[in-house]
Amino acid sequence: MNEVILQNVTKSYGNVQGVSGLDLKINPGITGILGPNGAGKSTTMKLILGLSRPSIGNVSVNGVNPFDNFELKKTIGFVAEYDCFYEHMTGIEYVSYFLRMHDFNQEQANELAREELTELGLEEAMHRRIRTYSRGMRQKAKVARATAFNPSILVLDEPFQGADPSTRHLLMKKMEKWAQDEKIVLISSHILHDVENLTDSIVLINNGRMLASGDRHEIRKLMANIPRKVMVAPTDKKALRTIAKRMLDEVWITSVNIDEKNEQIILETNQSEKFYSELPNIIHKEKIGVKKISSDDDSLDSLYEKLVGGDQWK
Amino acid sequence: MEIKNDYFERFKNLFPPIYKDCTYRILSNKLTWIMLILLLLPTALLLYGGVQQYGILGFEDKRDYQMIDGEKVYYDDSGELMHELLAEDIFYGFSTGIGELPGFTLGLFGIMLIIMISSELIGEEYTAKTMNILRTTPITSFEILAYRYLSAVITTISILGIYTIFFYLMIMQFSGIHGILNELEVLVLVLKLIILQSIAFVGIFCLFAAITKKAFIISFAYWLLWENAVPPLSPNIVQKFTITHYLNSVEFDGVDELGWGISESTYYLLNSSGDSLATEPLISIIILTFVTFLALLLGAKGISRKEF
Repeated sequence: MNEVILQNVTKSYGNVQGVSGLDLKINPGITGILGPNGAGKSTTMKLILGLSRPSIGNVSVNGVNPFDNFELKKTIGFVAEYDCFYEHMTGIEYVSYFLRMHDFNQEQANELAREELTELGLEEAMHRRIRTYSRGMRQKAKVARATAFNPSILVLDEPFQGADPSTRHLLMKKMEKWAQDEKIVLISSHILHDVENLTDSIVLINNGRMLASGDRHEIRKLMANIPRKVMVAPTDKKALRTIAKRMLDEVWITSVNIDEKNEQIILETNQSEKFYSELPNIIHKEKIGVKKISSDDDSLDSLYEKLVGGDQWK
Repeated sequence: MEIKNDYFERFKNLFPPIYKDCTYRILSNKLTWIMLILLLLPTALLLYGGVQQYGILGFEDKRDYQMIDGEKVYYDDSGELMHELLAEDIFYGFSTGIGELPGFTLGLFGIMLIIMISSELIGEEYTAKTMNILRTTPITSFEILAYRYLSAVITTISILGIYTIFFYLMIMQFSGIHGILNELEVLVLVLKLIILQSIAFVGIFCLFAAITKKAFIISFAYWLLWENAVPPLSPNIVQKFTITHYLNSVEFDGVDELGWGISESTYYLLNSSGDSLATEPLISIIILTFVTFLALLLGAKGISRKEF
């Protein structure tokens, strides 16, 4: 059975500790690692991927040390937070290029790449150079590269960052399917709502330490009434005022600001659950094209304060 | 036997896409073309000078010649065979009205091209963060480095080889077909040196690119302060720790066979007591191959130990 274990893991970069005393056991299914930027999420993922070695403690993936382990690499798919492309390649060339390293021949690699890219909605764009791709398409290309060889462990670092709503929806569906196939799906995010609807378990970390781990429902309870700021960027700049006007009608919106410079609207809510369930309906009903929804998610900081104050998650 | 077979099969499967990617990156890099233009500049100047001096290509032909066995054999003003003079000049450089112009042995721009290609192919994997992905993919660090090294060597040899043949034809055409065919040994020697230089220096520069962040600067400094400076400054055993010494040994042996009467001191291969420091060509080639392999092993070690 697939299993990831971190035992008392500390990773230091000089005087800075990336993670400290981390104990974690990850079983098949979806696990979300949540924390603000710089919390230690990426460091944890790097340790699991074998890109970093722990300064103290042990990391074990399927019973072996993952650092530079050739055999283990055959079973792990990684979607990085950042762009990591050969920009001159087409989507299919990019996915196929990495599949060849899994010992698929040219024909097999092309076929697998085509299937995966088609499934992710890049059927028409797969023969275009990656440098012409939008952010959503890039995200899909990264996912296709990481999943085309059917890995048993998937590590996705901020997979929803910059993804448009349709990409987000598609990725969530894929993740659910992978989890059903008994794969370990590890997702990092600094936005709880990104993962709370699909994770069975959530790990909260901040300043390199694990603050809490547990069931998403418990964490949702803690999150419910924490104020949140969300930025919505419509595809048409003219729609800014329409959205602003429409959102003011909702009781769960506490403030609306139009950010003309960045062509987006900044919404504040103190009922985040309601907000995230209603927003897609409003957008759909009003026929507003949206290119990006993002959140600073300061709410996580508030949650951490709450958690540090209480003992229920420690 | 099984392992050998697997390794070969993997090479057959993996190398073509990596080579294609590397070649594309090299050829689409503006710097490659700038280097090539800089390399071609002396050719253009010499060609222009030659046309002015000998008055060919539509001008009145000012050259002296004799018909021998139905072939035109050209001579210069002092009655010497033109192809012999040109062959030596294109090897060691030309004295012209605008100063010394280099011959076609690898000079500054050739080395810059090799450094640029080596550091670009490895360094860009770090800057584009594709190295992080490669490190989570089943490909060994040695494969990552060696396939890029091979791609760089093939491309470097192709570019410099084509340039050399072009240079040879452009300059030697002043001595006619007879001259071009008569001095082919010189061309072969230069191609041999380009192959050896590329094999060895690309290996060393790939090592720097694998273990350092400022590969271009470090590689250039290494070439300038070690490879370029030690042989002339150290007429002793120390120069045997440079790639240049072994290349000089092979080059000296080559020109010696051509009968040009060049002294070992031209290649800094004499020690202070006047004894020869030259290494046998075959031994030189073996040492260059060994050093290259060692550089690749160290570079691969550097990649595999690197944390992200």
